Amino acid sequence: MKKYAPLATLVAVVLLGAGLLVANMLSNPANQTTSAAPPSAAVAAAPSEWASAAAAPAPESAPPAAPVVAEKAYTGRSAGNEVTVAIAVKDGKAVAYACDGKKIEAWLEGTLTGGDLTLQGKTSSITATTDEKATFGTITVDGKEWPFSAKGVVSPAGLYEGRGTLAGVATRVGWIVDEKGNVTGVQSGNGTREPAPPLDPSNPGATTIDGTPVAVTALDGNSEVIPR
Amino acid sequence: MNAHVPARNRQTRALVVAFGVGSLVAVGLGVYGSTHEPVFFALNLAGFSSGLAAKAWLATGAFLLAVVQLVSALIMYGRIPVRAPSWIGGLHRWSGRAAVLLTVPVAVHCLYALGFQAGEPRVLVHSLFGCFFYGAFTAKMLVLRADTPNWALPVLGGAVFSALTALWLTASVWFFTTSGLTF
Repeated sequence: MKKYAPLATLVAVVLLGAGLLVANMLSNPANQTTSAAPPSAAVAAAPSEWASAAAAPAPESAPPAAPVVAEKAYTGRSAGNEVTVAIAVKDGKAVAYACDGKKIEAWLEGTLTGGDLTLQGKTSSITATTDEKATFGTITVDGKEWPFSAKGVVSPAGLYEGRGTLAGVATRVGWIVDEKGNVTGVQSGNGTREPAPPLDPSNPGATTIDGTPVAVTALDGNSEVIPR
Repeated sequence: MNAHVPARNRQTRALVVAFGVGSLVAVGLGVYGSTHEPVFFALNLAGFSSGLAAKAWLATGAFLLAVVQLVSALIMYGRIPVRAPSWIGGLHRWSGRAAVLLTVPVAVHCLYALGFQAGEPRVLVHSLFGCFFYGAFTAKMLVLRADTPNWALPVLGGAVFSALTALWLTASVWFFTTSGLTF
């Protein structure tokens, strides 16, 4: 027994680590709707609460229509200016960010099939139709549904994600830069949301929160986002 | 002389296995940490104001136990002029086990919620030592009961202790100095 005591210690460490990892994965809110399914399958398997609000997705057996736009970003607002919306599409994939610049935000990802955009976040969804010039549709965030429109824009307009560690708290920031250069954003960390720090779209590398640098990425439709 | 050759070979083999497995552990953790998408989410431990405070205190507990490790090891190796009590070995083993188990929730949170980051020097050093710590710890466990040269155990023990100290300095101490001594 004594001979194997160090191995037993190693095994105990591995088991504890694995147990905690599994507990984390099971309780991660981002995993509860998408569970073990890969992201694309999760989008196809629409959870019922938003499938009713969404246009019926094409049957899975039918070949998906080619996306009408190869790569484009759109920015706009909901009809009553409740949220600013940005969507980026690339090669049939899409990501979106919506926020009010104060407390509301949503990260979504999904697909562009033909001219139909379908995106899903943790507690949000977007269904819209799009062409080169504009996107029109409906966005739902935390149970509230708003019609929105968004114009096709060129860089530096679009959506940006920032990540940093602020006083030890992993912090995520989303910004939308519209075609006029107006910036709307929300930062979230440790379960709270607040207005984002300023972003200079021509120099995103210089972004800081209270002096702490934040790594900023301009997102395209192919980017990985964590739906929230 | 010939009789020593197989022994030397056995020692070398045990060392290669221990260091090899340890290196794999360290590199594996680093690869997982950098390829896994950080989720910015983790279970919070009951009784602490934030996950970060919990981590800082768990790591502090581990560091204090590591100091016990260092002192008890020095006594066992006769470097402190006191008569080694009979329970010193048990103290060393159990404080070590407790220390490494305390580090596990911290490491899981680091790897799962944050990942391997290189954005600033403190974070890069912390990420590197985090991977190195578990590699060195694995190697030390494998060396304990194997037939290895006498220097292997204290060197690995020292590496584990140094790595944990560096981890504690780059995280807990940093947290306490920026956020205050919060629970």
